[in-house]
Amino acid sequence: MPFWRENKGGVFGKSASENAAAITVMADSSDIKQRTFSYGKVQGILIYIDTLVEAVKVENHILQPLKENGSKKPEEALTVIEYEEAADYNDALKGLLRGKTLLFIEGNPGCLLCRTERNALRTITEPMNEKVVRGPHDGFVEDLSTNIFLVRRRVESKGLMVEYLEKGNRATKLLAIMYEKDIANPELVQRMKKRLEAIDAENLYNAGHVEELIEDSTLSPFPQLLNTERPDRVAANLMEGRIAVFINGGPTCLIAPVSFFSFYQSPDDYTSRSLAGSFYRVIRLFSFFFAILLPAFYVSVVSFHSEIVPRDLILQLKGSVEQVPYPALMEALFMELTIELIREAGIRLPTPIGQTIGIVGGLVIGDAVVSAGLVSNFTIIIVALTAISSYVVPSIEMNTAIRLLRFPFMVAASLFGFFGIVFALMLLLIHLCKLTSLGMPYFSPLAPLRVKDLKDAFVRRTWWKLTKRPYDSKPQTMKRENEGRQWVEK
Amino acid sequence: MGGKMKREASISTWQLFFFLLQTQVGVGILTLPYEVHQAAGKDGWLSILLAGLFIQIGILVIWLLACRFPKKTLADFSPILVGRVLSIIIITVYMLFFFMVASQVLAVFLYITAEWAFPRTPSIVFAVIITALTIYLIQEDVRVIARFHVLMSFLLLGVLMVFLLMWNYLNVYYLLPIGSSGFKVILSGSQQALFALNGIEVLLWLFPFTQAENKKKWQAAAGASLTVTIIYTLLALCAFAYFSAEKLTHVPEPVLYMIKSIRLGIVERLDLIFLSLWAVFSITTFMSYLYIAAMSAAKVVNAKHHKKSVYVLGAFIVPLAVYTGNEEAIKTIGGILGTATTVFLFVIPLFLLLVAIVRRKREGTG
Repeated sequence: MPFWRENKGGVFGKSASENAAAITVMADSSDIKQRTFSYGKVQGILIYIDTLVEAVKVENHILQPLKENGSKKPEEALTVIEYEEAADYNDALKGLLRGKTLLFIEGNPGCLLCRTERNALRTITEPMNEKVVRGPHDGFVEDLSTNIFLVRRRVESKGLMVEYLEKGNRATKLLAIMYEKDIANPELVQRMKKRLEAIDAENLYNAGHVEELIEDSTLSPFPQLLNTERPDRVAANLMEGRIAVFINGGPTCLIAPVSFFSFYQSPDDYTSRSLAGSFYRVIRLFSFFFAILLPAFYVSVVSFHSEIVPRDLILQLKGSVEQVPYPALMEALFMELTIELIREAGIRLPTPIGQTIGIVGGLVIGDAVVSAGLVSNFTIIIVALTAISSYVVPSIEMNTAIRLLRFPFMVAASLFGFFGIVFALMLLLIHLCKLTSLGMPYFSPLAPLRVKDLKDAFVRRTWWKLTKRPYDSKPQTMKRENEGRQWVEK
Repeated sequence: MGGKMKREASISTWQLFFFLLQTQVGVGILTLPYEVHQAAGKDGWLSILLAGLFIQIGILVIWLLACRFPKKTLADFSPILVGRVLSIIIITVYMLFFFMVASQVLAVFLYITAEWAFPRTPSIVFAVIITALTIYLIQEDVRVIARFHVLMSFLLLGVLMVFLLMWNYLNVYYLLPIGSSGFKVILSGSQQALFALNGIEVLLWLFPFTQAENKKKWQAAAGASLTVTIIYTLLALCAFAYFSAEKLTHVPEPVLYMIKSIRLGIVERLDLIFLSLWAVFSITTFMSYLYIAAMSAAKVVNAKHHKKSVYVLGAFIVPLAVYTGNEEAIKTIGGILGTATTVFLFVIPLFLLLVAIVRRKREGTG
């Protein structure tokens, strides 16, 4: 027996009891409560789901004022912050499910939806996976309106638009699109809305579900929407003309269009001074190539081009590699997979044990494997460096992409040496050139090349030089600030 | 999936510049100094400069022709000039020419890779991989290809590094006296260089896709050719100043041997890294030619999109390149294509230009 009966739709009549009966017929769950009270000379009926509403609100803002002001119209008597007229049964049911209280008054046609929902919220804390050294330490929670509140309080702009969308045929989920209407390109906003509106699912599980339904290419290893739990990151992206999508029930916000380099920008770059920020930005981008190319380079050097190694090093390298019976690819693959195992185990285990696993995995295995002659100690160095560099990127999804990508590179390198790396790298770059995020080029500002925008991609130039917005989101207005520091005496 | 942009894909002048640059810089990097040396001795670098001059003339002809139809490719405006039948013949021979050049590029690539780095890998493996990579890129529109070519042009810095690193090894006396071989010899050498430098015919297809004034397009094309000419000339100069004239006759890939001798301390055998750079330049050249060939083929069969012709040409080019990937075939086909270059670079465009002038055909001033 379905929880909710098939809803036939229909409009409310004048009789409160009939109206209430129509609703209760459709919903017969045991936590649906109906309460009758007298209002002036007539009877009133309240229907609510007691697991969703705050009892105090119903008592103080609906029951009490209605009892005391029997002569007034119900709309005037109510002291709830928000109420609305339900158009039909459907509307009323939706409100009921969102924690609203339905109010029927005998003789009054229709139904009032009063806002009485209860909120059980996690406190606002810094997101675990996007920590920063300096700057704000708040993060999104599982409630949509709190998340929007966090952004809105940061961007006090009259152009900041929030548009709600309800999706899910069986279990409705509230989505919100957020953009700065004077900056964001309306064509892109339309495109985003179109994609969201095309969603036709029974239930939306989480941000990942929505992401897969609206991203440009689902088979690409690269994330095309920026997932973030940081309000300051969302605020900064909104001011660059990008569009944010919130999904109720999760702390993750999706941002599009983004470029490859968005994933390498951390709020830390902007709170620290430009020189330091640029340094870390360069380190991070370097880590990208390091993480995907280093093991491949090692494999190709050991198995094809050992003559490239300087003479003084070659003896040690060869000496250590020769003792291992397996080909370089096997060694590297074995160690890389071990690292992945340690990582996965470390995540699932409770924190104190997780650290132990790290030590056991990292130190004990690493040492024993070399002395057992299974893996050469050069491989251990390479794998450790690769692992460290792959965790540098300040975005979890990009991190996953990088960790996945190094395997095909290793295989290509073991097949064709440097040429294998060249082929794989070309394939990767072609893919990046083809890829789009919300229809905008993903590898911008490198492809298409826009030299002006490189100053916020490879480095982080001083704020007073970042006077123009990046072009990849095609903003309506480019100018972000006038060149500052006019007070400098020349 | 992605929101399709309804606008026609177009490229900027810089993208045109790098597109042409990548088309022109190709397999010749490694072998051109040897080839011109065989033809013109130590004055071979003058041959390259001369060939560069010829290319500039070719650009001017093509540009004058294309300017008359700023919104049309060769395939679209040739019917207006010479009628439907002749135009299809012209496009078809151009298509075959581009296809053959692409095949030759791949064949040379396969030959040198087998000689220098992978003697035991069957060349069909590389042929298939490269063709697959190429198909993956060139089924897209011109914009994406141009983006990729721009991106790859950063690698030219690697070639420039070579000049810096070679500085200490050069012996200028090998080059003197300049021009002693005589003009005739230098001219015959420029015939060799012309094929390595060419690629500018691509402009006949890219012209309408470029969003710029006509003058800017000419600047881009001329600038690209000039850059390529300079790079090739410098490479030849380096090679000629490094090897004595006698030694050069024994080294068919002088650039690689020359780079091999560079000692850096961090990396030995820089030639292996340079070979990887060269692979990229060869593949981009191959991509450009195959793309233009596919575009022409699509026009010949009147297809809306060039995607299918990319697959068909790709399927044909692999066996052809593998079959011709040996020294003899490369030499023979290279000779034929060298002559053909003159026809496709000068004769046909000039003929079309004259027809356009005589018949007073012109569409818009652009």
